[in-house]
Amino acid sequence: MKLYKFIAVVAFAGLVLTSCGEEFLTAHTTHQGAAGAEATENAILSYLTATYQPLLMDSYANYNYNHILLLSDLRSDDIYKGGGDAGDQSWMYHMSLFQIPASESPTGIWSLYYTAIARANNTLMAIDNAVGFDSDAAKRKLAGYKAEALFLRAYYLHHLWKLYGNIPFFTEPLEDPFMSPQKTADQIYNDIMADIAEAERAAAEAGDEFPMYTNGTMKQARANLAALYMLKARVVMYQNDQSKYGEVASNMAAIISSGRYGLIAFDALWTGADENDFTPESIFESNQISDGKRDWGSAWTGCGTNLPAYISPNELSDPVFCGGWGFGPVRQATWDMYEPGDVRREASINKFADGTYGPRFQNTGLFQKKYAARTALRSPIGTVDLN
Amino acid sequence: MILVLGLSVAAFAQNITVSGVVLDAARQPIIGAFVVEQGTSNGTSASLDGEFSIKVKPGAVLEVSCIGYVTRTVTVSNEQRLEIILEDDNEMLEETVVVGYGVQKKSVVTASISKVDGDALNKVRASTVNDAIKGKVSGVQITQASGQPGSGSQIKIRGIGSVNNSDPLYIVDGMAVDGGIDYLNPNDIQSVEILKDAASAAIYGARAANGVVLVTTRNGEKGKASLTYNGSYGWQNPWRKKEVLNATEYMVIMNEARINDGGAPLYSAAEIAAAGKGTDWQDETFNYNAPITQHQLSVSGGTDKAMYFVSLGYFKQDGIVGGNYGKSNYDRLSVRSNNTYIPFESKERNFLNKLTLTANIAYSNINSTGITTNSEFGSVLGSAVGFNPSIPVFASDAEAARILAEHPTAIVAADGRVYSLPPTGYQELTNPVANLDTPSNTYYKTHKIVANFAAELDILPGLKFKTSFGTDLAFWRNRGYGFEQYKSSMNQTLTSWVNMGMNEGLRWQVENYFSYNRQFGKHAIAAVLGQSAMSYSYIYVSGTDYNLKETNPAMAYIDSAIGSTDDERTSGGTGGYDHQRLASYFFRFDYNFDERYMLEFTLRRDGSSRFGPGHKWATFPAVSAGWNMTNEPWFREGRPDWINQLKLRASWGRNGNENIGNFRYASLMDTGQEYYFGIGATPYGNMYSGASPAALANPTIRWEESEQVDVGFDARLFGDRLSFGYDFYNKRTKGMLMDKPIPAYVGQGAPMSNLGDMRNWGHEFEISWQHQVGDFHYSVSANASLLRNRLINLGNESGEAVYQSNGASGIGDYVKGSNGMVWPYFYGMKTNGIFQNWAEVESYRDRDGNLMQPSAQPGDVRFVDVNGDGYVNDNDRTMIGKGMPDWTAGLTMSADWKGIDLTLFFQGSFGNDVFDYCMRGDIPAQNRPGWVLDRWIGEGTSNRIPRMTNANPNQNWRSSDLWVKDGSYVRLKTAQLGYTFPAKWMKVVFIKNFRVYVAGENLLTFTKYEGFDPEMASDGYTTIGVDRGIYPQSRTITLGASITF
Repeated sequence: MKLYKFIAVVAFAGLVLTSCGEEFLTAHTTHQGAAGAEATENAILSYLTATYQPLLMDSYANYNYNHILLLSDLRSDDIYKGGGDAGDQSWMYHMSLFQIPASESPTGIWSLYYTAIARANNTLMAIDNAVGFDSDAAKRKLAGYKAEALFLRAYYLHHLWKLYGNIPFFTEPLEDPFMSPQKTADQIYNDIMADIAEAERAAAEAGDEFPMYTNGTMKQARANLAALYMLKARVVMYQNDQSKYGEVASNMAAIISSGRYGLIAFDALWTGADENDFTPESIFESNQISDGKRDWGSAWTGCGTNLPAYISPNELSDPVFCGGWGFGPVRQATWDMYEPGDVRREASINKFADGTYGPRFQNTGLFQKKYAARTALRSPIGTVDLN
Repeated sequence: MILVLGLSVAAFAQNITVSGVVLDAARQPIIGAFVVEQGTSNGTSASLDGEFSIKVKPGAVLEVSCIGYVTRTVTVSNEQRLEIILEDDNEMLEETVVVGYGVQKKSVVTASISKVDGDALNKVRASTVNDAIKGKVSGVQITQASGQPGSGSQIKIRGIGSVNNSDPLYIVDGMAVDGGIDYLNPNDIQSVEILKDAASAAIYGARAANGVVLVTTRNGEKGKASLTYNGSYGWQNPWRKKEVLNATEYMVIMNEARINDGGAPLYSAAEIAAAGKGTDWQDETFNYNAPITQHQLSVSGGTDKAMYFVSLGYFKQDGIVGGNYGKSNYDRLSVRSNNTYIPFESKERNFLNKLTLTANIAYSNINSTGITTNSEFGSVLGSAVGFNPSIPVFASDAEAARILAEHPTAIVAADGRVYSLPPTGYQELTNPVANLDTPSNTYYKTHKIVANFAAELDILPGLKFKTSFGTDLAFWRNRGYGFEQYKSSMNQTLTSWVNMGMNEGLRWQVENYFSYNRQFGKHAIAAVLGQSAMSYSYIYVSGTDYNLKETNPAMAYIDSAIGSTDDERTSGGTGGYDHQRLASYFFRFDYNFDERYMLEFTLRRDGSSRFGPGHKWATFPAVSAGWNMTNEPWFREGRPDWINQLKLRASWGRNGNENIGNFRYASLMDTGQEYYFGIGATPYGNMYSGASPAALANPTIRWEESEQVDVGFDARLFGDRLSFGYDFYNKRTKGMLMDKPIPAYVGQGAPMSNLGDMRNWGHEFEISWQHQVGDFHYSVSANASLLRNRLINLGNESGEAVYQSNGASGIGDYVKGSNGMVWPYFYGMKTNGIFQNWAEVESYRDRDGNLMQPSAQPGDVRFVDVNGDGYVNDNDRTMIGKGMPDWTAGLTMSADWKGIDLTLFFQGSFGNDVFDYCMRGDIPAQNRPGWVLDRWIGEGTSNRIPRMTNANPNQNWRSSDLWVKDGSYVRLKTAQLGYTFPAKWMKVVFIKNFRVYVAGENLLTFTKYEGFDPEMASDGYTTIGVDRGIYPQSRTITLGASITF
């Protein structure tokens, strides 16, 4: 019996000594921190930066070709869909014919802009919980961040509102089961205007931290007061809200009288060359850069855009412009609208002779020139067409 | 019969020499039998003809023994010639099966375990273990991602258990290994056991839901050392070329499509007449007679104190596509040393009387290169079947000059000829031969060291304690480069690049357990109680740089690149977690009464670092029972002579799958969301890094659970010549991890939750027969499995998900999963012939009286209104086929006679479909498969293939049953004819065994499928059966020899 007791003790001891506790089973993250509540300035700035990022992503939004510029123009009479054939991005074809079924509605831009709104919400919540902003100068800075975040939220929301109309909108994170009611377009209009109004108040508090003009300064590429006024104007006019027309007109006057903005040569605006970005004519631009980081499998990285490759003629041989996928060819009627020599036509539409490119579906020989792919601006590294 | 030795030995006793011969029951000499003077170490072993000679004291007792025979003792009193006959030891010949943490006699196993012997594995001469197991075991489906050398195989045990990871757990010598068992040299393996049902796998608890593959490597045996060499050399060729149009046919079809669309023909009649056959791109691309070679050298032997097995293996294979350009090659060097030591074994006491130490160390060094397989976006074979046959491989001199003038970095062959460029409109397809000859490549190298050390101490009779420590250390790296090159406007590299990545993964495991075996009269019990802890950690670093100074592949390292620092990329990390750990306790209890009634109970408790706090521990029970009818006394009396064994068994158990990613229970932030602000070093500003909340968290996340019931029987008949086994199983996986369906407007990634349910069930049959007539010995064994799978609940709101879709080629969605259907399945429209004339188009009306297919004309496909709503549209898409087979079967036949042996192995799969994705709708100028010649060209000419058209207003080629082909096949996978030289000749040159053989693989295939290969086409569960120009398996002829000294 003693021997069996000995065995039992040894067995128990063996198991206990070699057994494992809770700490053994706890893993720690190495490069992703956990989401928290209090926010320092660095945290707020990084959330705010993340809120700007979706401006760069619409051309390959969540792996869908939902370029906001093209989507907005597709249902007009200016352009055709183009591409390989009717089935190439067939949803775009159906959209251009006003025949799009619910199953083919562009989901990329929806996901993208709602993600952007969620990031803006996160930024605003962090601003409300900010720590370390004690001096007056710091408080003005915080107000500046708030104005930027509100502007961005209103901006993304207004695109969704224009495209879809009656959509959900919320400013606090949702709980399980993560549902939110669908609001009417008018209610969304009021929400957008509320965001803009609050941004104006924050802008007043911020003063220099949310200036009228940012080109060429340390705040270049960030939202500014002029951009806020322009967004307000666009939204008010789309809604036909006559009651606000007076206010908007005086906002426009303020922009002009600031003396900082001016016009530059029309065709220079669209060339995409570095010296033509953030010119005195630019109020707000998305800062696309050919960094070569985006790839077919990683749509949420990189600062480039797919739009130039998308709308350029297939396999073009030209000294300045380079080839692309041949979508969005311009209609002949659009070309004919202008008088010969009109600088707006020269800057907006490219006419290529037969034989210099490969014709594709709905070919007219005319292609978009604004944002067309230029050899000099192409990213030398990475997946060329996406960057 | 133990005779007591006389303790007083006369000091002057003379030693006598005793000699004799040791024979078996058939009076054949037993080579290597041990003859030992009992109680001493004075012994010898019988020679090649059973003879022995030993000097002993008079009256000594000789003990004669050999594995597989009953030991005999003989007292020797004077010099005499002995003739000792040893009886077969049937009991010891009884097969044993390795189960988790132990070994069981096959006759008392109550769970469903299939075993493949090392010898059977090595008949096939496969490069990896997975290939060798194919078709030998029922219920296990092994598909290779492609025929490319080094491409992994996917093992599915009893169907697809989960929409997430369904890989089984691999245990090698008791240690879980990562990354599969491809690094193993098949020659090193003694046996592979596949634990299929829940009861056998339950001892591995949280990782066992998809079954367990237990590999035991060889160990030395007591006896004279033997040295074995085997080597082989083979030639591989594609077993089939896909039939595509030749140049003349191509021009005709291209013209026809344009005319049908109202355009002008592209090729003139003169061009068509002069076209001839054109270029056979597949011929140009395949690497014929690609070599495959292997060499193995192993030494094993031992005494009763130390046993060893040391082996060295080398395997090299060139691919049949790209192998001759260094783009598709694989070689593996493996070194192994398995050692067992018994430092002490005392016969005097029966406690703490034996200690066994095992030290197994294996190292593998693997190098490989590979090409893209199975992709419609520019894989080499995909380009080869789609490329224009009227274009020659090399451009004419004039054309070459023009190409080089415009694109100085166009690909030029070693002999100076310039490869022709693809014509316009070819998108991602390029000249396939140029694609192989490009100045870019990526080299992969892996070092893998797997070591385990164990000590087993016999504490009391029947009670043992084993402690073991194992590590699996792997270093894998890649180095890739690309020089400036132009292949087509969509496929060019403007700036040379180089990237390197180095990864290190370490897994260590500590296990301690007690095992107890005892027989009390007719009752036998066995128990195992133990503990295990495991940890895995991983780290990597990688970098990319641009602008290499010279176009020399040997100098393509990051240090040689002079790109600007803005463009350099480095990344490194640990995959986001510092370690992944598992802690477990396990207990198993076996009981059998007289080997008639058997009962087994298993319990395992696992804690994993992957589960959320508060849910870290899980318990997995299992129970199984069996009844050996033939051991019943009443059966023995009345038993017909021809039933030797009949065992019924049943089991139930619950296992888990903890492959759920490491941090789904915590809220994390995503970083790296960049934007540039302000003015600074660059005109576009300074980079700021953004962060935002990552996917929503789920703190209650837990493992996927799988519950399985198994019922079956095993029978052995006709004097053990016929054995037969049957199993029925029903497996239900609950709580499959899925992204919880949340609306996209939430703006964050969905939380992962345990939501889905899947069911797999089926029948398995195994049968084998062996017989001997005089010198002729033959055996046949076969297995067949019927597998059924159903997704019960996908766990999201709609109960559906689309897995594969391609908008650009006009196919749309083509692989889908939905509740209540097999998972996954091919998805598309159903067709009902071709409209032969306008009357048919006009008469096909919808419920509003409009034309059902308004864009259709004669020659277009008629689609079926499946849902009966009166319209033909996307809502009529339905299941049109599935990639998983219904039946899989294998048949092995072998025979030998007087040293000549022949083995044939067939494998078949029935009921599987292939989605023959061979055309891209957005490239009108691509070449078409040969069956397109059966297209519609007028009334009554075809009722299946529509007319040629590029504009395709009726969308004839959207996903439909036109793409789905029957992929059932029967294939002669291995045929081997060998000759073993007679032992008596070989003995003269000290060779124990010498065999030469010629073998063929994939010699014959019977299938209706016309594509490259019906056998694989899968590199994920959702692409099973999708053929996008896969890399086919090769038909190989091998010559080999094996010698044992």
